[in-house]
Amino acid sequence: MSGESLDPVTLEVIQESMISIVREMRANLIATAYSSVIHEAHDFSCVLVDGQGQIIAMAEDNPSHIFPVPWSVRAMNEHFAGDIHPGDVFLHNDPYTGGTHLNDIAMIYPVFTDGMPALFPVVRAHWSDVGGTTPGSISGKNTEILHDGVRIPILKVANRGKLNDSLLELLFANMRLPRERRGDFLSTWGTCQVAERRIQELSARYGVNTLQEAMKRLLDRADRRMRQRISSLKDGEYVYEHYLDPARLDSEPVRTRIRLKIEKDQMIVDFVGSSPQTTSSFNSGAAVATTGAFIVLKAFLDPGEPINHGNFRAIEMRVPEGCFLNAKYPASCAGASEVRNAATSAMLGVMDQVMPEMMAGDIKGTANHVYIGGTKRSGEPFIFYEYPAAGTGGSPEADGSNALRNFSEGDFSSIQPAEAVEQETPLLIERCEVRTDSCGGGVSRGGFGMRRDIRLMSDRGILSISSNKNVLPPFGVNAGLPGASNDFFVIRKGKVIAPSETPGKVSGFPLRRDDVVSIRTSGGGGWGEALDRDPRKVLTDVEDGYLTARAAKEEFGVVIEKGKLSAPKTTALRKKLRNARRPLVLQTFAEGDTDERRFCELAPGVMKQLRVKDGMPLEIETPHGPVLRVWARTKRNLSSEVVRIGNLGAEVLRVRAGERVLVRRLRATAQPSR
Amino acid sequence: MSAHLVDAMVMNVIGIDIGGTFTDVVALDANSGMLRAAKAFTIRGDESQSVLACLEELGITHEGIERLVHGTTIGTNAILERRGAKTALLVTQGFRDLLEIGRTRRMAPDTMFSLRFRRPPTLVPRPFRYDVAERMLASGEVLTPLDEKKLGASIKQLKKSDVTAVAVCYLHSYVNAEHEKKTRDILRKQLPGISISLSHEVVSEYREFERLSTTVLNAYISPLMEKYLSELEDNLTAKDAQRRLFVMASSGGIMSATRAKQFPVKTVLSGPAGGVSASVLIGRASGLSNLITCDMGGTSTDVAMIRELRPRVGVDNVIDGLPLKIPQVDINTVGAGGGSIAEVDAHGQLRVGPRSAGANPGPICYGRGGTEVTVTDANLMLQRLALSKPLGGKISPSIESVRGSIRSLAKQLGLGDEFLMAAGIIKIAITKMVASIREISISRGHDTRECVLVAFGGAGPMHAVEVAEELHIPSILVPAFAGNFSALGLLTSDIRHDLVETMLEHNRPEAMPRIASAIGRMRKEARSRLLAEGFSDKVIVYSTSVDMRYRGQAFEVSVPLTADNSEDAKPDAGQLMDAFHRIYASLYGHANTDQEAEIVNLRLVGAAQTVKPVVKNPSNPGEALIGRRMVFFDKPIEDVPVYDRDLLTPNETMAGPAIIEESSATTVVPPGWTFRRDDFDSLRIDREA
Repeated sequence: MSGESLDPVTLEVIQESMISIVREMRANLIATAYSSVIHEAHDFSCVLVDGQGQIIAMAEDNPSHIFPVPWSVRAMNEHFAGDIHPGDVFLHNDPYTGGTHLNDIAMIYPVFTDGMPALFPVVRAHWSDVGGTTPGSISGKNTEILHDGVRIPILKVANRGKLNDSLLELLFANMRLPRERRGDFLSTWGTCQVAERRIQELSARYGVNTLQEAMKRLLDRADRRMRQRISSLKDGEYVYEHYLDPARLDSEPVRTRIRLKIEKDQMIVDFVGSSPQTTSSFNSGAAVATTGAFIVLKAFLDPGEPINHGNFRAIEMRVPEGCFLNAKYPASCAGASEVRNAATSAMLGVMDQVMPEMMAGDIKGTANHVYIGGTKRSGEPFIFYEYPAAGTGGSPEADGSNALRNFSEGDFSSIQPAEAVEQETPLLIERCEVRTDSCGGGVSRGGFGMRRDIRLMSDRGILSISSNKNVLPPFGVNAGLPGASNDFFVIRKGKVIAPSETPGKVSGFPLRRDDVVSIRTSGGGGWGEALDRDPRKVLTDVEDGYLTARAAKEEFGVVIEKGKLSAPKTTALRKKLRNARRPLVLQTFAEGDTDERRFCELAPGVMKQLRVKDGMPLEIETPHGPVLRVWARTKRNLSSEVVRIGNLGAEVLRVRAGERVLVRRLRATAQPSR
Repeated sequence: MSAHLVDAMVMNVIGIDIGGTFTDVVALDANSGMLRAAKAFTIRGDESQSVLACLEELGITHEGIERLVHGTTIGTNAILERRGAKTALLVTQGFRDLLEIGRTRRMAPDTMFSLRFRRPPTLVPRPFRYDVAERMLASGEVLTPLDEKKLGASIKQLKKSDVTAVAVCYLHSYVNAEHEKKTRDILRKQLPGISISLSHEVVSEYREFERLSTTVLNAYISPLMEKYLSELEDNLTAKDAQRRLFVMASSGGIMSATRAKQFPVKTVLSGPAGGVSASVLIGRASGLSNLITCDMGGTSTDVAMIRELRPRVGVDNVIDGLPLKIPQVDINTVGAGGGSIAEVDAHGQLRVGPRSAGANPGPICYGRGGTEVTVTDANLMLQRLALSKPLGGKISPSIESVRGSIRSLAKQLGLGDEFLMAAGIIKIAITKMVASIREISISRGHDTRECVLVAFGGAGPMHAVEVAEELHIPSILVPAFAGNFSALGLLTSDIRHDLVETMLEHNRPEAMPRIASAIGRMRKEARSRLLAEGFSDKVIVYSTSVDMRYRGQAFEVSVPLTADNSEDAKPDAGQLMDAFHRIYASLYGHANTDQEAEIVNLRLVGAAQTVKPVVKNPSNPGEALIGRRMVFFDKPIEDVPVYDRDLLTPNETMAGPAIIEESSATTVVPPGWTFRRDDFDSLRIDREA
């Protein structure tokens, strides 16, 4: 069959065949992997790319692994041009040229037919340790990439089918649990070999030309689909900004700003105005930022269709050099997942404006990496690794779900079976519960987060955490309330202690016997005004024990006495709460380019009323979109009827000067409880 | 098969398959192995009446029944439609919400980027989930003793609600079940008559969420199944019912009604298992060992891989997003059947299924008001399907009824004509079936070129050769009773007890005595269960296997330990190791021969072997050629012969193209393939040499 005669049926057959190769790769790796990160938590992805690294087929894989793969392949093609042969195996994890965090190592396995590049299987898997400062390698306080572990720019580890053993030994020798590393490496290599056989069968069957033609058509079709959807949107410019928690007490919160331009069937996503490269772990290469933004576009525009590279064509991503989303050596990129989540939250805010009917409350916005390292009774080291899920956002038709993987992070487990953990490590999982009162209030509330308590049953352990939205929680939309933040505590002899002075950033905190690591994940942001929520739904949450009667009263204005809903008292309370609100008149001032966080100016009296001091975070809500996060600054002589923000802030809010807006305190970080 | 005169007192084994529209009853004469079948409309809510009608038609009375075997979808449907019992859950303190949180996964296909996905409500709402103060360690040591006082208080509270089933799941109960057992005793005292499911009895394996989910599913359908099976027993069997009613299990074996009432979850998703069992039987009789089954119905196609006459049985299954950890014949289901609808989506992409026209309105050619083109309509367009017979509707199907709709699809896609279009629709349905077969065969390292495709179900024989061509399968078998093959499977299955014990051991000689004694224990247990069900040692066989993995891995490979029936198993570490490397390599393409292996689970199957039907062709062939017509294959071929299957001369090989018709199915043989009716009344279709 020649390329020209390719009919729609053959096209479907080829597409299905390629996706089924990826599925086979997944099943093969899960069944043969050695580390629980892969076999229990499925923190890996498989993909087929063409010779240029364009994504051709993926299955139920994690987009944040896959979308950066083209960069990795490009790095290979640049460095090894003319020196890529059948049987060669390449590894890559360098964040500056297309990697994510160093733990995610891509194996690229070029396959040739008739001497021409055919399809390349690529596996990007999370290696549970790649060396560096702390067990598990990722921790919130890394300040340069050398803390993150072994960086692999692009490395040929097998030449025409023969492994370079000494090179591999060098790699494994610089990682913890080298035996496990080696086992996973071999399983991954075996997986690529299986894929190679399938690709050769496919090529033999249809011929190289037909296969190339099919790939081209599949890419074109995905492109057309995306353009069709973009064309249906209103042309214009939209902007939203999102802040990561401060990396240290004294540092500025890190801003992601996205300016979206829609023009006919094209989009430009520009990260201009985002914070510069940081000296914390919150940096990434451009691949990660664009991935975070693209996931949202896929979810809003084309959620049900198979993904390939054609999906990207209509979208131009601009990530300015020197900003933390396009970092250079020696920036630590241990927090790359956090950066990706920041791009996702910012893009979510933008798309909420573009397609308000799709709007939903914010999600957990972090990977919530938690590592506990230590020694088993046998003397062998262990690394425990989880990244617990959180509540999802409320949307017009339904409340968010409790402790569930959200749309941006694939569908692999975020926690491991307690019985497996307790067999393997000296840890005891004491709790795995829905976290009371953690939802963001709204007409549709966000989902509740999770509480997971883990006790150390041996003498010493080392705790590292990399997380966000510990200070600035998931936001609500259309006047909905934020969810509870992600919070991490250590309970020692009945006392709650913070494992770090900066919430969510923990590097090598020493644990003692019987310490309990208490993980509390965020609630989803609410949709719509909490005081408008059906009181009967609030009562159900209280009856179910998800919500306390006190929270019902404070967040939703619903009075429940002795298990019964009091309608008159609820009406009265809601009226009172509404009347107590003081909307302020928005005024703006011209703002220049600044790396500073966004301030809002308030009269001293208003500051007092809101119970905030200078430098404390606030949010400005709007009934038609996501909130704007700002930091309080006292302005003497300002009218107590007024709030002043920079003009760009008003653009984000989509509110004009002179209109009234509601300024509110951020939901207080949860009081640690035992 | 033709009716057969029987003595009044001949003992029969009865297979009962109650479907949504029809109830199929197949009767096996236990002495002669003769088979007969009857069919009646299913009476919803009073299903046993339909069965009685069939028995009457066959002239079988209570006294003439040795055993009834029933394939039921009651449990499955109750779960899918969320119509189970009001269930309470007792769970280790701190894990009240485990049922809801699970592993935080969505477990639903095509929700990868969904902003709108919501986790469906759990089977046990939170107020009915109780924390119990107790805790075991992974070693089986008690960390916190069971607080009976607090438990008593919880049960008192539970009593106030009208809960009819309780699930109990404590951590590490697979090593030490003391607390679960004590809890059962207390429950029985305080809530006599309530249905109780203990996790260590339902699934005695680690990974708490999957065990919990399965236990809750068991509790959820227990009261319903108990009532249903008891009524069936009362109506269908005069006396001694306990021994006589059996139920199809998902493992491919059958279980006594008594056990099915206790562990109804083991019947969930057992529907397609019958066809697999029947395929094993026909494979054995025909001297074939590697089979791929392809059961194509109206809405979907179920495929399974059978190696060395052993169907693959998996334990990690999911029903409607809920994990279900019970042995289940590894069946892949794909949404492509005769009724699957072909459509062009908004992006100009041709889709076939998973939407189905079902039985109502059905395909266009049924003439029951269907307006969307289905796979069946496409077959009619290509004249692969007969024109003469009505297909359940009042109107005989005519090509003209479907031509317009198929042509308009072709126009939308810019594809030549209606014939090309129809061929394309069929091709896409076949591609889906092929992909789903690949997953269970080639993806697992089984070479399809060494397999025979067993095709049945209403639409299976029509598409079998094309499926085989795609997968390079050289040979196809279309069994007798192709349309009722699953019901036949009920009669061919053995009574099975699957036992499992978790035993984490290095594969070393010193572990072998412990393994041997555990196997002895399990064997004793299986034997006593089978004896209680009325079987004698003569018919009981045992097989044992160990789940092994390389140290450090998490998923195991099943390695057979004993195939023989010898009393004392003498496991050998060296032999196990060799077998493990070999099986591992055949599954995953490579083995890590320098690494140590460990044993995770021991499995024992105790089976009472039943009398198997003998399928033989007694009929005298007559003139089989009943007509000729033009049929579209790659291109139109004039004068393709059409045969009546029942009149084909046995063992006469003929060349395709040909169409072979029987009452419940049509077999299509394209050019390049030969066919013959064999000694077991199967159609054998082979690629021309």
